[in-house]
This record gives sequence, structure tokens and C-alpha cells, in this order.
Amino acid sequence: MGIRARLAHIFGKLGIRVLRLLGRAATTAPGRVILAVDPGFISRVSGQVRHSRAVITGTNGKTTTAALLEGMMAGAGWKVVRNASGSNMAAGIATALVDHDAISGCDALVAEVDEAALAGVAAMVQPDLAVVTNFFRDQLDRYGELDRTVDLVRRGLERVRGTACLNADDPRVADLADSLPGEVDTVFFGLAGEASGGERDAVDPAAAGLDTQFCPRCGGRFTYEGRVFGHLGDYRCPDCGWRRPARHVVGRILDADGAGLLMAIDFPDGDSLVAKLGVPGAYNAYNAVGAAAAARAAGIDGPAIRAGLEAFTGAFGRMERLSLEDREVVLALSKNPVGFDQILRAVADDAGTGAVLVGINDGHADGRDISWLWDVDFEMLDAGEVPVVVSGTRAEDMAVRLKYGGLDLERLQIVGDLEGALERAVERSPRGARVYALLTYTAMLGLRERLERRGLVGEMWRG
Amino acid sequence: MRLRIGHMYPDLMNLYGDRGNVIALARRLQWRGIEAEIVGIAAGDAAALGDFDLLFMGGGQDREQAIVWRDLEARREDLRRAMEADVVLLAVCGGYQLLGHYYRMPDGREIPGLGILDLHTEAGPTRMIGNAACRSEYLPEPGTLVGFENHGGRTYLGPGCAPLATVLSGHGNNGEDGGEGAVYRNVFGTYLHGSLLPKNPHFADLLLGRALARRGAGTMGDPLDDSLEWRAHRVALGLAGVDGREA
Repeated sequence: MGIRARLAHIFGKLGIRVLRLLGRAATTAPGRVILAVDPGFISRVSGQVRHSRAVITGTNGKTTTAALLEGMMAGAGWKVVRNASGSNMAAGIATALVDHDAISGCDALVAEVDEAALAGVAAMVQPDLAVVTNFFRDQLDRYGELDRTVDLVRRGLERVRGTACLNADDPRVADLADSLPGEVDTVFFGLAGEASGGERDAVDPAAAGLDTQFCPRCGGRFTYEGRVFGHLGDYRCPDCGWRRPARHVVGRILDADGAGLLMAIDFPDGDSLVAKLGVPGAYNAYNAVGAAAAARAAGIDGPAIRAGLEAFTGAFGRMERLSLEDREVVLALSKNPVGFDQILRAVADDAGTGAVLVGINDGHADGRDISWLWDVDFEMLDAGEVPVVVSGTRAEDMAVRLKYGGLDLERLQIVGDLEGALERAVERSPRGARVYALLTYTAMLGLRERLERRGLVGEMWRG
Repeated sequence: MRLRIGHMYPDLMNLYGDRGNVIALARRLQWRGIEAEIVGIAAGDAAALGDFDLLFMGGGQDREQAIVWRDLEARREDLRRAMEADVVLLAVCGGYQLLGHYYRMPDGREIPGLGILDLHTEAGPTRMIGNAACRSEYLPEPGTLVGFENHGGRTYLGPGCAPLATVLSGHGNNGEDGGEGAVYRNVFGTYLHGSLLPKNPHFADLLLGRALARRGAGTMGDPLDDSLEWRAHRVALGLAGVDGREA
């Protein structure tokens, strides 16, 4: 390793220490310094990774899929570097490489990467493994239309060598297979059957306002044999005949409750495993099967994959649990309609729910346009009597959304400050019950930072 | 009394929380004890647009708008007759652009529109994105409209329609002439989403009032308690950099 990379490492290390002494998370800023000192730092250090350089991208599930894959690799005894805080552009990855001393060697790099940053990051990381989770509409003010996001990922995947694990149940993801470089192996993954559906799933797909309704190859309108949620499922184009490709790795939900899932995963060689996952929801089943497909491609064996799944209790802010005044608080990052609907379904299905906090910020990282709140089925909260506290920079918009969704206003309270709002939600919840905090990205960062200071949650950079 | 609201292309033109506008219209009727019938009008559906009291159309992605366009072309005369019969129509963003004469692409090609509103749109080099506020003479006090805009097209009005509002903050129709949206008879077009109507209850009631008046209903009854809506309105004014008292 050259002098330049060593210097960048030392500067980065210093930056991280100083910022953390100041109580800051230090996930992105040190990376900028590192890359300023040595623009080639990421490619130099990832060149030294012994076994696997993985990139995980897609709209939802990046952080959880990456955390699961890390756990599976750790189960095989590997030393893994991951950008655990969700800081998923080049600077965040550089910070993680320095923070975990990748310069002195590691077995794997697991990087979750922002869709728009994939091409740049992949050019540096030279990945030999990629996972694409799904494409949903997200932050239109930032990314533009879905077609643009898909193109950015397509371009990023041109840099991948080795294996690409694609969610076959999402037509826009499956369609990427045809534009992969020739020497790349494609592993399709997906879920069997239909999960318990939300209200969206009960209606005709043509009227459901799915994010993807049309065949990317000919423009025909898909029909579905079955849908898991959103546009994920067993689609077929009646015009050109293109349909969901055969899957190599298939997950099945055997049992589910508010706390987690029991699932089976079948691999192509006839091998299969059953594991308990400590996070609920069909969307987490997708994350599990995507991570398992990637782990298998990296040569991780079944027992280690199972151990990784069972050890997992939630990534940073993704159904992360903590205890506060005899209530269990569940932090759930909720950032776009389909993801939000899945979490609301879990909240509504959990008989132990005592109160709900919804924190909506409109910072750059959240998306400044909050019109997507009207695409979320908040009507799921109408049944029952649990109190709902709204907070964040767009608390009032959220309150209006709930009012027009039909929520009894007696149950609704606006508390602008997020920490105060959580305290209010906890107060209004019975002891022993669960308080769900559904938060956009910067609302999650802000609240979590306060909770860290009180020692209620671990430091975010440890993931 | 029962109003029929037609939601045009709810599956295709739903880019920016557009269904929030329809939810707002339906709820505000329901809270007044007036029945609302919401009908989704999809491409290919047989629907006589003149049978509706109020029509709504949102915006879509390019791919979806191309499909909508093929369907709308067949409905052009039906829609025109409905407009001349003063059926109320609100069109947001992409739907607004489709009502004009044409959309000129960066390469100079012109995609024809319905020609129901005397306006045209030209593709611009950058997108106009952000919180926006404007003031409309059509609205009662405080007269302000708030929302979020995100459009690449610049829309220019001809003499056959009037701007809906004057820009206080943001870009409006084209970033040049200070106008936002367009009005012709009971047809309203705007770039503002957010969703627009839930936090602009006076505008929602303007649309409902015109639809009811057309049916001969004199009054909308007692005002609703909109304190929550106005709180959200004031927050949005602040985000657009407009002081509620000055506006």
C-alpha cells in the first residue's frame, strides 16, 4: 500500500476520532477528506480484499440486505467491512474502509450503494458480487422518474464481474439481466406464493396504481398470477409473452407474526434451509433471500447463512428495538409508499401495538417533496384505538393526511420536537406495549442521535 | 344531493400523490353531508365525461402519459363539450400540460395536446423544483396557494385563458412572467402538487362550490373546521419563504 493511501487512512482516522469526540456520527465527512487526500483510496484498498467485494443497490432493503449478508459472512468466520450507517455514496464507503482498518486486510467488503452513485462507486470497488433489491418510486425531486433510476443502475452494473443477484419478482430488476456483461452469472431470487396482502393487494392490479405496470420490453400491460406486494410477483406480459424468469433461490414464508418470520430458502443444488428471522414483513423476507443468494454466490455454506439470518435483529433504524419506560420502542425507517405500507401492515397486525409515532422531515435526504404521503395507505391505522403522535418538519401535513384518511382526531397529537414526540407516544402507550416510531431518514438520524446520547441505542456507525 | 367525481387515469396519472386531491374533495363533501361518488376513468373505459360534476387529472411519467394521450385523443370532443357545459375540471402538472395546444420537445418536435386551454408548453433545459406559493384572485382570504412544483416544461398562456395565480415564491408556469396555472370557465390547471387540495381547503371548496352551483345548490352550508389544514398551509408558506402575514 502506497504512502498516499496510508496518509489518507491516517487523516480519515483522525477525522473520525475528532468528530466522535464531538458526539457526531462521522459517517460521511471523513470520507471526503480521505478521497481528497487519495482519490484512488477505495480502489486501492478494495483491491486488497481477500474474498468478495459486494455492492447492494435498489430502492428498498439495501441496508437490511447488506447487514444480513455481513452476518452470513461473519458466520463463516470472515472479517467483513460494511458501511453500516447507511451512508451509501463514495464518501460513506471510504469512511467505512478506514473505520474498520480495511487497509490492513479484510475478507469481504459489503457496500450498500445509492442507485445514482452506483456507477461511480462500482468503478472504484470493482465488485465481483452485486444484489439489486427492487425499484419503487422514491424521492422524485431527487432521482427523477423511475426510468432514470433503472438506467443509472444498469450503467453501474456494467462494472460488475462475477455474479449479479437480481430480484426476479420485480420486472424492472429482472430485465437488467439482459444488459449485464457477458461473463457475469445471473442468480434470480424471489418469494414463493403470495404473502398476506395489504389493502392494495386486494384490488385489481390495473387499478392499484402499481409503480411498474408495463412490460419494459414492449410496453404491454402485465397480468399477474400472484403478487406478494406492490408490483412484486409472478407477472407476465400478454403482448410479447415475457414473464418472470425461473428463480434459482426461492424463499417461502412458513409462519409470521409481529415479531418476525419463519422462512425456508431453497437453493439451486437442492439444498435448503429453514431459519427464524427476527424482523417481520414480506419485504424482509425479500431481503433475507437476496442476501442468502449473494452469500451462496460468495461460497458461504448453509449453516453460516442460517446463523447469519438467526443472529439478525434489525439493522440501524430498520425495526430496531429498544426499551424505554417499560415499553418496547421499535424504530422503523419509512421513506416511500411501498415501504411505508409494509411497515403499517406490520404495525396494524401487531396486537401489542400501544402507540404510533410518525415523524416526517423534508430534508434533502428525505426528499423535499412530501406529496408521497398521499400514496401511503395510512387508512390502515384507522381501525383500533391506539394514539398517534405526529412530528418532524412536516408534522402538520402528516396530521392533515391522517385527518383525511379518517383517523379520529381524538387519537391524534402534533408534537414538533421528535424526542418530545417519542416521550408523548410512550406516555400514551400502556406499559408493556410496543411503540412504533415510523420515521423518514433525517427524522431517524435526529431521533437516534438523541437516544444514543441517553445510552438507549448503540452508536450508529457500529450498525 | 350527490356529486359525481371522475378521477381520470388514477392508475397512470398518479405521480405526485395526486389521489390526495380526490380524497380531499370526497371528504369535504362527506363532512357536509353531501354524497360523493368517485369513479375512476381508465384508458379504454366507456365514460361520458359530461355526466360528471367534477373531473380530476394528475401527472404521470413519460411512459404512462404516452398511453394516456392515445386515450384522450379519442375523448377530445367529449371533454370539450363537458368543459363548455361548465363541468369543473382540475388538472395538475402533466394533466395540465395535456390540456394545451402542444408540448414542444427539446429537438423541436411538437406533441399535440387537447387544445382545450389556450396555452402551450416548451421543454426547458432544467427542471423547476421546490416549495412554491402564489396568490390567486379567485380565492377568498388569505388568497394564497401552497404546494410543491417539479416540472421541466415551461407553459405559456394565450389570450384565451387567464393565470390562476401570481407567483410569490417559486417558478410558476415558466419562471418568467410570474403567472401560475390557468383558468378557463370551470377548468383549472396548475403545476402545484403536494397534494394541493388538502392544505388549500379554500381552493377545494371553490371547486366544490362551482360544481354544486352548476347543479343549482345555493350554499355549501356551515364552514368546516379547517384549523389543521391552515396550520399545514402556514407551514408550507414558511417553507416557500413567504411570511403568512405579508402574503
